[in-house]
Amino acid sequence: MRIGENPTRDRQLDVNHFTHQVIIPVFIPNFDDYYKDSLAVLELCLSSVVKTSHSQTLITVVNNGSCEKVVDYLNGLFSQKKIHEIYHTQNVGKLNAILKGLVGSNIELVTISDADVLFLDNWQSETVKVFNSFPKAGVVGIVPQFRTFEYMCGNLILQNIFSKDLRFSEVKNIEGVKNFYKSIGWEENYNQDYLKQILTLKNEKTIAVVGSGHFVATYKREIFKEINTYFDFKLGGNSERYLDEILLKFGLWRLTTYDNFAYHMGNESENWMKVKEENLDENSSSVPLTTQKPIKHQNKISYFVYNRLFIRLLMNKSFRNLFYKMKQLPKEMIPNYSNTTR
Amino acid sequence: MRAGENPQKANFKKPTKQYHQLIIPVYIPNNEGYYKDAFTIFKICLESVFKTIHNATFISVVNNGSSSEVSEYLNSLYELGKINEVIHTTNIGKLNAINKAIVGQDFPIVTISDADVLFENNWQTEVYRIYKCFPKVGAICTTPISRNLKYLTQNIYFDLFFSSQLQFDNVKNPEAMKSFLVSIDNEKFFRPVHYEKYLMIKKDDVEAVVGAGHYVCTYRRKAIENIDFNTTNKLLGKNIMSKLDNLVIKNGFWRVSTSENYTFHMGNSTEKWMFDKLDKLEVLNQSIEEPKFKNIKVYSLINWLKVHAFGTMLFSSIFIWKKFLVFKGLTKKEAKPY
Repeated sequence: MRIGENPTRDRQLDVNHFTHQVIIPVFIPNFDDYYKDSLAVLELCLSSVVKTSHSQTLITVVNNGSCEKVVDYLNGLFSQKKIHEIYHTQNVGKLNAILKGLVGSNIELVTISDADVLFLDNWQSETVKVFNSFPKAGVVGIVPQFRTFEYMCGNLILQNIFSKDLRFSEVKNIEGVKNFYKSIGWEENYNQDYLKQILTLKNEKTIAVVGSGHFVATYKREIFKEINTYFDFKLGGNSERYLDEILLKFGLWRLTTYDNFAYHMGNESENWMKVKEENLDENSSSVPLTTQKPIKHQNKISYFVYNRLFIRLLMNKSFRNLFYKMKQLPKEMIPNYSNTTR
Repeated sequence: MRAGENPQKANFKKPTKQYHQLIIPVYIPNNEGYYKDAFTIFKICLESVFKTIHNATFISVVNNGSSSEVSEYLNSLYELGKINEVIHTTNIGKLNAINKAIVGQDFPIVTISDADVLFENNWQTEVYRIYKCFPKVGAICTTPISRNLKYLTQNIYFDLFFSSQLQFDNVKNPEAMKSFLVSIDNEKFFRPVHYEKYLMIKKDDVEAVVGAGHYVCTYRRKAIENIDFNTTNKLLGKNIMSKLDNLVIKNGFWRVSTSENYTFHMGNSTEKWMFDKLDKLEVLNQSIEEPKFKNIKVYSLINWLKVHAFGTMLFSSIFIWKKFLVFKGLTKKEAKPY
């Protein structure tokens, strides 16, 4: 029977402690072939997050049916209090795993990352800086990639089309960009101009790359308030596109930090990764997020104009060349900038 | 770098064979004071689950910031494959914890149970029988409490007002009801007649008691759909579960209980009967066919009329309510204190 009163009854939650959540779904079913190095990569990933994130960061790992050794490793981290939340579930698919991490907490920024990302110093403070300088930012990536402005950036580009702040600039960290494409298995026969010029947006406070990939990116928590509670896909399909589209519904922008603040490791561990990880600084500072305006649904007409009509226009080759010219891409690069290969 | 294609890419989700999810949130921060026996009770709870469930049940335990002793116990159960999902989180409150288990899954039947419940054999069989017979049922508690008849049940009265399916009958297991009330220290609100009669719905030979509590309750997924993705900021308390309870009636479903008692509330201190009951449980390892659900149509205006206009009228006037009780089979003498 029940004796006494439960001490937690009606007590308020201490909700203000954490300001940033990192959610990392993990799926390593075995150590054959593709997954041969996966545990080593995961170890690098998690220890880099732990080292580089500030003390108000809640780290959530969702194990999506991995093998026993991975489970043990994660439980170890949890009992050492290096990570704060660990869920073991069974093959629910990547997006569903992420949902489990999202629901039930109310932390204003959420980073969703693959389990093969090596985080670098200051990634958090730089991300927050972008959010603080661009109130319309909905997602901020930390790895600049090629031509991300083509993916779901109609709203950002059209709203700044005549602004001098939207223009091509030099790539800040060529090594970082090169490394990313190497990690996903591209030969170096891509358009070398991509290593020189990238579309950026700047204001008096900071400069950011237009567009963002999604293998590691930080979202505004608020955009998830109307999300579905279950998705019928495993990895692939449209799962991530779904997250991206929510952003557009609220009329928010995709941006990436100007410098490179993470490496993609892929499924093979290499020596340089270990070296990078060892040199990470463990005292990371936190930059507070300034008060953000509540987000609103974008009306249907402007949604259509930004994300359907204008995108269509941007696909047009002659318009695109005009756009490159307007945005001050060096003349010799213009004719070839739309071609991925050399 | 990445070599080879991830074998998971664009691999459609295979249907899982499990169809019934059992969610148990647990919070045992230490072994002192209020929580002295809590870990033992929790173990009894899980053991009774393992003995009584059928083989298509998916068990999720949400550890809501318990001690490392409890986490390790759960991890070992997960590795043995006895439970299918463990969620270790920081102390985020009961409803948030439950939400983490519900989200990202798609089981048509979801049981949410406290960590101090002792399950009896055949609880699932009985629950499915009720679902099959009454398509409008959305939540079934396996401990009948006669006084829950006015808790979010307005729609049942509207739908079955003149029906002979809705009748008072004798309480099948008054001792179990009494022991539940004693365990939550609520006995004083009950009069003798509450242990004698409860309001039932009957069709063919299936019966259910009107009203359901929430310490252990089995939901149709449809009935708890659209659970708020946002969070509550209470750890535990009177109203924390009411969000979930309200959802059932809002989605147009009935809340009922089984007429026999299939679950016992253990509270926070162990007693001998708990161990005896646990020993006596049979391991049936049943395989039960998944119950087929009919879709019901809900119109929000009609639903509002049922719950607010009609419900308020019926519940707020003592005169009308007592007349109704007599109309449904209580004698005048019984109706007075009911």
